[in-house]
Amino acid sequence: MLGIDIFKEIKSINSREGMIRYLDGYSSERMEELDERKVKRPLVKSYMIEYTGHTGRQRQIQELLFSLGIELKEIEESLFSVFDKRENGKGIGFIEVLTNRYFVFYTLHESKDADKWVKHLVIHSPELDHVWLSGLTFNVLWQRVVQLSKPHRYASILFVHESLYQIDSEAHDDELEDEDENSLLHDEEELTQIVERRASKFKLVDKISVVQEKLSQLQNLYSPLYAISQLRFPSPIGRGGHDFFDNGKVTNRSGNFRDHRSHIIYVQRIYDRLMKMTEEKAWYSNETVAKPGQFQKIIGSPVTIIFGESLSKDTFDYWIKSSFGRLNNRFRLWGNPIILGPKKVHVYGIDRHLWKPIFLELTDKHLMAILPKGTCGNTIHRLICNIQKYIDPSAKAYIGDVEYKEMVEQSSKAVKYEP
Amino acid sequence: MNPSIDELCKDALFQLNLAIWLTQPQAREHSYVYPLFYESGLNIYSIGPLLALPPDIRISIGDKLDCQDGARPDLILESIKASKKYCILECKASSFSSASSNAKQATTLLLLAGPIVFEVLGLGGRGQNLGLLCYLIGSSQMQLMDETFDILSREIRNLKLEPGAHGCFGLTSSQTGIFLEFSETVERHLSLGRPSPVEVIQLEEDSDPRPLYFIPYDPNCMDQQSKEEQEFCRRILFERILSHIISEIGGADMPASLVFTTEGFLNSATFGLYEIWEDNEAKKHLRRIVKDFLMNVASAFDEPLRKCMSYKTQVGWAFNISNKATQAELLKQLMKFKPETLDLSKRIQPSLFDDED
Repeated sequence: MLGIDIFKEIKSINSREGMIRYLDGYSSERMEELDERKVKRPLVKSYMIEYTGHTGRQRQIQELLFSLGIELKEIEESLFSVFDKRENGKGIGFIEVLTNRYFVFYTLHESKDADKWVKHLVIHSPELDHVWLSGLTFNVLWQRVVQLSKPHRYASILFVHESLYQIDSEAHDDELEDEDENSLLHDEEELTQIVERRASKFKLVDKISVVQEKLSQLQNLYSPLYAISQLRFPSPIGRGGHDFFDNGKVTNRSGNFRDHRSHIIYVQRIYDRLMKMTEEKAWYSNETVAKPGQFQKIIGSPVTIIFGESLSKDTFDYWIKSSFGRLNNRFRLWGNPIILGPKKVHVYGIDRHLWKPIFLELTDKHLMAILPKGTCGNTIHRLICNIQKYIDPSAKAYIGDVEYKEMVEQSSKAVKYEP
Repeated sequence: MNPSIDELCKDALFQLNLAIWLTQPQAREHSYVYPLFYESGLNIYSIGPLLALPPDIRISIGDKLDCQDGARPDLILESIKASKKYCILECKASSFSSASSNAKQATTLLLLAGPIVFEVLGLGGRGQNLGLLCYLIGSSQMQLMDETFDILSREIRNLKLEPGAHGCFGLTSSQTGIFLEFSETVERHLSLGRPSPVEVIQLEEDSDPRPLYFIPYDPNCMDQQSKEEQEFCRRILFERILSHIISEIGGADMPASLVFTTEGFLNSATFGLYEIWEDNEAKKHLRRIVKDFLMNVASAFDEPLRKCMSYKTQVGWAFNISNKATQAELLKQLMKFKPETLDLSKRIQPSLFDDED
């Protein structure tokens, strides 16, 4: 799958220290090339991945990836080099297991190849998922960027919103067949058909103090600015920084890999806390108070995503048709919609990525979800991420009566120094 | 789906699901069902618990009072405020008189809500506190219901026993919404955060006001349900069972041998309430409905896939899936299955093998 056989370069690495030193040096070289605007080899990219056991039994990472044609060779405890058996055993990077729920994949391959490889891995395993950083989460992480960086440093934020389901009626049917996850990445000249709908993608690079002063005002004026899909944590020890993407990808645009890794561990710890909080609060279960068959009560909280503006009838219809009328839909949901009104639908369905049940009420004003216990919290984060990206960038989310943003805030504040 | 709102307010399953939603924490600025109970500090303590009268009470009653040895109310609410209080909640279509067949259950519930409430709930000793018995009825006939409670309470007191406090929640509707009405006694006892009436659901034009159902089916409510509501509930039940099957098959490692029991399906579809229902005839009927549904699912498979699914008596429904391609095809066909195309009001006849699963 990948053009470069990095195995030749990394095969001699036999310790964590060795890997870090190698990637540190590699990052430093790339930084020099970036300065000269002549990047000869791809930057270091990391992908934060969540892995869970479907039936309560969590498989060892080696076993899990082996079933997908990936072989891991242990370098040190919780560190592996990665070989793709489908590519004649080609070495493609390293996997470092951070906790029993998250690992990170480090690679030196081109973005387009590495993105595809990771996406393929995730799509083909219900036990793997991206770490989903929604616009709401990024807005809180932005405050950590402000806290951690000097005001004169430069911030880099990418905003991406595409009102995917807001369409002109003529384009309606074509869109169903033509949905492309990377549609915003195409050059405009490549588009053969002009589709009128809101689509925003732009990058803001300015001093942190300037962005901090203006961002919330700008967001109030123009809601797509809530849909942050990429945020840079400036490096504290040099120029550049670490670009976090909404799907858990992190590109190292600094000359230091150790700092890159520290930032990944920091964000993963925030995400882990957020995940535990959302699952604890949102999971519905029938709890037996006394002995089985006696006192039963339902515990849990509904997840509510409230749209800033009501969806039009066309948009609502298209969203439902697109999400439940075809198997390969962007939200990765399945269910038979029970129509309760022109803008109200119930679905007792499935999160098709994780193969877990999810009950949904979808209206022009909100999406409400009930997650039976065991449904991974990532379902919530993916839902929020996709709603902000494709339906309403200014949507607010709640788990019960607690605003999701508050939970991210609490999670990020709770990450403290650990010896 | 276009139910009459008045009919819906009288439907005990709608009432039960509404009562559960009233206890759910929701976004302050936008709640589909206004969480009156949650905001008033009322939690679900138990759903459908079986509560028995203590022996001394049963001896005192003898045959002097028409009541049961125990009862299974729909819900018990617990106030989490400073002094713990418990509300026994029972859902009914409408008010009834002291001569009605429902009076026997009401008398039992009045006794259970009395000074023995802590004892019967296993929380402490007798006389520590009083409970409250509330009937949630689908009309504004709260006064008639209170009169019935007064008569039944008098009968209890005549035996030198003590009933619990009592009251009603009435569900009514207008052009704009569904309202919950209650008396001052109920408001005071439960420290409700708002005075009666409270609009609990705002009606939207041409939209069915039903919220997502936690409990999609209850055999005890079926007799009181309209045909439309019965079909609606059966559809939800089938959708939930289908999603359970898809979830299990989709997440299984191949090759896989998966076995499902009808009881397992029903428990997963009712948040575990199936196993506590006592009406064995109703449960048997429900199992028949589910079996029929699964036969329909199996018959919709293409020929090569049919052999993947089989029913074995004493075991259940077995899916033998040999590889990923078969898994993918099975999932594809399951996901194409539409319970709405079935005859949702079909009467299922008993079979010779009813008791085998």
